[in-house]
Amino acid sequence: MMSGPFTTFAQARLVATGSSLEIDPPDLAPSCWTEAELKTLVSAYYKFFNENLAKETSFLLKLRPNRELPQLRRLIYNLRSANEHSDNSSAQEAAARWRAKFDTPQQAADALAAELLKGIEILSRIAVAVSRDPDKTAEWKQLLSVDTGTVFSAVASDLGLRFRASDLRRMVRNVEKRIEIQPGSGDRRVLMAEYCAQEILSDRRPLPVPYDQVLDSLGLLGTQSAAGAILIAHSVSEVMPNLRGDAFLARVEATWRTAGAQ
Amino acid sequence: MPQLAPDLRRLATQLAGGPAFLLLGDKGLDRLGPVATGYRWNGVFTSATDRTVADAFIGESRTTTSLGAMSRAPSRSQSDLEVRYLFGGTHLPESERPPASAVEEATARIRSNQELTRLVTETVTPGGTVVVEGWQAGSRLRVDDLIPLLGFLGPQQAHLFSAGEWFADPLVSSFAGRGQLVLHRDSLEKVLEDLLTAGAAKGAASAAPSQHVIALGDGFVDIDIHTWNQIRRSARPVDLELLTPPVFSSNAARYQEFRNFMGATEGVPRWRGIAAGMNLKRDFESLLLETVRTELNDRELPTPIVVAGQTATGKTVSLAALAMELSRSGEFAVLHQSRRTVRPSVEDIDMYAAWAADNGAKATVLIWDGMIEPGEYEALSRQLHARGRKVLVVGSSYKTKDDSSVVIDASAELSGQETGRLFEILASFGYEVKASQQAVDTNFLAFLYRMLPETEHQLRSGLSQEMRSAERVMAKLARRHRTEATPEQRLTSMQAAFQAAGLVIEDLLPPDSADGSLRDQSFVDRAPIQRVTTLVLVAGRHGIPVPIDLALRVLGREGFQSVRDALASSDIIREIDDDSGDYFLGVRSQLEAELLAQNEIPLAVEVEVLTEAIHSVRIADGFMGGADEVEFLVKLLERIGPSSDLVNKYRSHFGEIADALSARRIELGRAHPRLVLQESNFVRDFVHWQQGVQIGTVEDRVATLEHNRELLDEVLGDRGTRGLIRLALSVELASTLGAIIYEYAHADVSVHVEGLASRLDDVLVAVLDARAVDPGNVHPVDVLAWATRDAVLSDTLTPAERVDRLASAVATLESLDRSSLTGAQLANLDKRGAELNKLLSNDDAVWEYLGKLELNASPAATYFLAQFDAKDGPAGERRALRRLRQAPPDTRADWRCAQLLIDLTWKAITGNQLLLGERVPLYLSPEALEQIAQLAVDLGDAVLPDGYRFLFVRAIAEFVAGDFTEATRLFREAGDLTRQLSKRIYTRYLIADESGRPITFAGRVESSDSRSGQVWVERLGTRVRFEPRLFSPGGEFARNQQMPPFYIGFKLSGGPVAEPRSMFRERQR
Repeated sequence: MMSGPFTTFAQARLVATGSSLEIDPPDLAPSCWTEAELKTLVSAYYKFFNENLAKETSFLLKLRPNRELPQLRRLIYNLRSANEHSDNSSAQEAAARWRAKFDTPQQAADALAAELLKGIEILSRIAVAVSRDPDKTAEWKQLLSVDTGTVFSAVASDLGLRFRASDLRRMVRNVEKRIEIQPGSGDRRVLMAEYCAQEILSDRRPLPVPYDQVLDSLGLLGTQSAAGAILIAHSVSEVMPNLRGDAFLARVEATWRTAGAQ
Repeated sequence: MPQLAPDLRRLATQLAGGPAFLLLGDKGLDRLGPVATGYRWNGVFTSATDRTVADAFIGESRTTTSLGAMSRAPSRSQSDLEVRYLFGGTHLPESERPPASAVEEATARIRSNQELTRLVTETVTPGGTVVVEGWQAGSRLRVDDLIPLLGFLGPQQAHLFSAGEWFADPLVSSFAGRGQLVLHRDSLEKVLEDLLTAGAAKGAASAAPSQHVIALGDGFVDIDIHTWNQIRRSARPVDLELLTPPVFSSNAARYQEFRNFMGATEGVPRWRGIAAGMNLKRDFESLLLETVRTELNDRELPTPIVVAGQTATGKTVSLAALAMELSRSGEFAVLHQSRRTVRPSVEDIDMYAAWAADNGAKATVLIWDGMIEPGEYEALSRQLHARGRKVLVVGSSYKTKDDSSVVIDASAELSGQETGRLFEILASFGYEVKASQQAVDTNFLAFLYRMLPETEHQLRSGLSQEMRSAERVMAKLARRHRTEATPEQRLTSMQAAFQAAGLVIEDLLPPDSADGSLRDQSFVDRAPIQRVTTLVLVAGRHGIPVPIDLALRVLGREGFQSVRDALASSDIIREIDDDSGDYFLGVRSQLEAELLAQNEIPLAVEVEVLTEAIHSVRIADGFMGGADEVEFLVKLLERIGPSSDLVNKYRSHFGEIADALSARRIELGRAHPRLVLQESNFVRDFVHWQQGVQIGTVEDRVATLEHNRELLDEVLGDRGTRGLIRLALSVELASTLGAIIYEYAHADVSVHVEGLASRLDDVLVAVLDARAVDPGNVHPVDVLAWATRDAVLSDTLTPAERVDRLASAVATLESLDRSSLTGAQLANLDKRGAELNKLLSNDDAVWEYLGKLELNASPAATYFLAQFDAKDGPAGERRALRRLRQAPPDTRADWRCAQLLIDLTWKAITGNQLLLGERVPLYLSPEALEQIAQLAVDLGDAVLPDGYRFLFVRAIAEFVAGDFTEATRLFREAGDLTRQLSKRIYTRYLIADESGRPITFAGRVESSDSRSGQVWVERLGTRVRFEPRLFSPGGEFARNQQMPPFYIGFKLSGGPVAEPRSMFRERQR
């Protein structure tokens, strides 16, 4: 059985980059009896297509130009702007023109869903083609290297853990919110990885060295013991807050060996 | 994430370390929720008796099979979960139903205890876990039955949930106190939920988005669970799970993966590393890919491709990389099999190829990294082609001279460019090596792992100095031997590289606590841990992993602990597992195993291990679930056996090995065809060796061979022995008889040689039996040729016997379809033919005899004389035809004469050889039809070895003459006799008019689905089959729809078929 277009897009992304798509698929069979429900639908589509998939849509369009996807993006943008903002007259006019084509909110919702479905189909076709081109997949991987979901999965893998999709999405959202609030400085990916590790281990205290160095020095990357080792590192850090770098690693290693010997 | 209590963390680690089995009490199902039923169990055992237990575990990604206790070997499959009803099931066959009387109850209890004993001594494996839930006092499963059995397991292997009432039980608490059973007050459902929430356990079987999905066409296709389960018995679809590249959070994680990739167990590809681009691309890979694409694009029935080379030349990684590249393209459905103890079944591959074609695959590619003889790939390929499947088989083998496949050489030397690329990869991990462009032996790849520090932290600390000296050693070897280094020379260089790097090869083994040299100890006298390494090294030096169940049986009571110790204390012994639930013990590197075995395992110990394995192997017929231990044993025996390149080393022990096989057969009380084949093979070669070194008398050796013959006769007498194994056994029987002839022919005393002619007749019968299975196979024909040669050379046959037997051998050679043979096969065939003809031409007595026979009608003489005539151009052919037609009926009906008569008649009618070429326009005039009909009458009941040929001719004639019922019957018979012929699916002839142009027909569709349809041909007044996809890409036809104009052709596989006219025109071009 062939996969649906959203699933196809997610599968192409996975096989090209190793990153799973941790967002919910849109409701493509909406039920909209009122204008309010239509507004909610527009917002959901905006979040899905114009926000969550925005970067990747732009990237894929750059590789395989297409007129329909920018038009769809514009349409959703206009509808959403007209709903949310009163100072964008051109969007309001465009939205009104589009809405006038349909008699009922349900008809408008059906038409919009059909447009989005078509858009996802186009996107999935491009994604599949790109996933079969090694040079382009390398670019795609690069684009996703600071994607929170991608980094989170990698960190979880380092810690030898594997979460259910619902738990994973919740924790990814928590990390994203934390990055918004505490953007920090320095390498964004390193910071993101630290936040992910802290989220996973429910411990927001920073370690004196990145968590992956702790695991690497113990030879525990990706093992079942990894999470336990980081907890020991936190204990060492708390007891000896002045230790840094190799001295800290050496002490963690000694503590770990002692704990293992019991 | 909530923190896990230490006992749950230990449980999580235990569950991650091996297979998990659930043991449910009578009401256990009531205690399970969605998490526990959805968990990836490797087996469920229950004392309940109703089907609701099995049904509860069925899901989108999992089926279940209900079984009674001890009904067959366990499989450990997670996707086809076995649910064992310890006390029978109400939905099972009568013999596995719940007990209905006290006696049955007692018997059921014994069987249940046997099953549980097997669970804790084999099935669970040393790394696995048994989880008990819903077990209450007073249930069928008694405490004094279950608890002592759990005591067989190691620490943390047995867990009892909802155990409140059991804390007070003295027996349970005593086992718990000793650490042999872990008690949990909580339910399994709650504990698993906690583990899943903490990310410490894998979720439900259907949780992964990439499960069972392959790239195909414009997107991706889900493989349904039933298709998946069937194909997983034979090969692994290269799906998204394998194709997905890993994402690394850091350089340390990336380095870790690289080191794991370099240290991966040989023969077991580490897909993650290849998906991450960590593999060194060998120079031959470009040629391999190009050849694969050419075969797939240009040929309807692609020829197998074999990557051949010594060990450690990168074949496994290259084949896996090829599988990934082809699969990612979405054009082909790609299957991969790397287990050296699995033989893909034709039925499974056929089913998958049909499924893939329905889902848009242009072809199926089976990449079988089996390290076997190319002939095996060819046999599989031929059978798949005979079923009309476009399947390309890509295999691996040791160095081979066979050229009936396309052979790609995997050189044992890394070229300068390859070395440069390797160092670029190393440099990308911060492994700074002075740029090198010199060629080195490919051993270097296997050796490199030993040089890589365990962690990136150590790498950055500069703990990787010694590699250059090892590299120099290997470069020196490469310079000295170029690409021609022998395995022994390569082994020596590996040893030298270890020394140069300051490593000691013996350090790879677990520490030896025994007194004295290990070499001096027999297998049974070795310490338990050394028995593990000895067993694994004996198989591992030949690249074959040991099924863990068999290993545990060989190792006995201490097996669990010693396997655990060996795995923990040595890096050379590895546990290999996959999602199909098969577990093996293997070695990391075949070369290292070979080095260690040379030092630690004398030949006598090796043979001792082999005989132990023969004694302990689980013998089952067909697919019964679990690893195929017979296949393991056969593979191992083939690696050391008469056809292997190691034959000289092991030959003097072939008698012992044959005796062990014989003893096992007698103990079993029945003969397993594959093991009988091995036994006979070893016996025959042992006798040959005895003859060479003058051991024993001719009588003794012949008696041994006669015993072989009886054994083979017995197995072949069973009609259940069918297909390729029948072919192999028939050839073996013919070879055994040939060996008897050889013994007699080379004996000094002439008294032994009476009845040689009748021996040769027996060879012919065996050869004809083999050819009935596969008419296109050259091996039986070859055996007949050399046996005839030996018999004739013995000078003990009369001239009449010589003529007769030579005629049979020559006629058999002539009957082979030369168009389907490769150049090498043709050359060998011609060599045999020349040998026989030379024997004939140098034999004055025979010529004198033939001369006299101008006056009588000996079939053999008539055959030879007609054959001599036929070689003399068209006039000679007419003469030969006349001679045959004028011969008495009995002579004409002789199979050799009949065969020649058919061929010459066909040539006289059509001007062409029978069955040569494709889509040959064929006009059969009324006279021609009359001739064929007369021939059918003349030949009457003649028994023809290649009877399908004349059946096909008669069927075409009946069709053209308008007797469609008779034609259908004859086509069906011809089809049945050609199941092994790959070219049976070719369209051989097209109905043509008098001028030789194919006739265009019109018709309307009677019925059609995506695969086949029937068209009513008004001009003929009959219906003919067609393939809808050949006429339109969508392949959709409505009933009564007018078909585009078509030609009608004939195939051996299915008789008449309607084809688009374009197919003929393309052929013409």
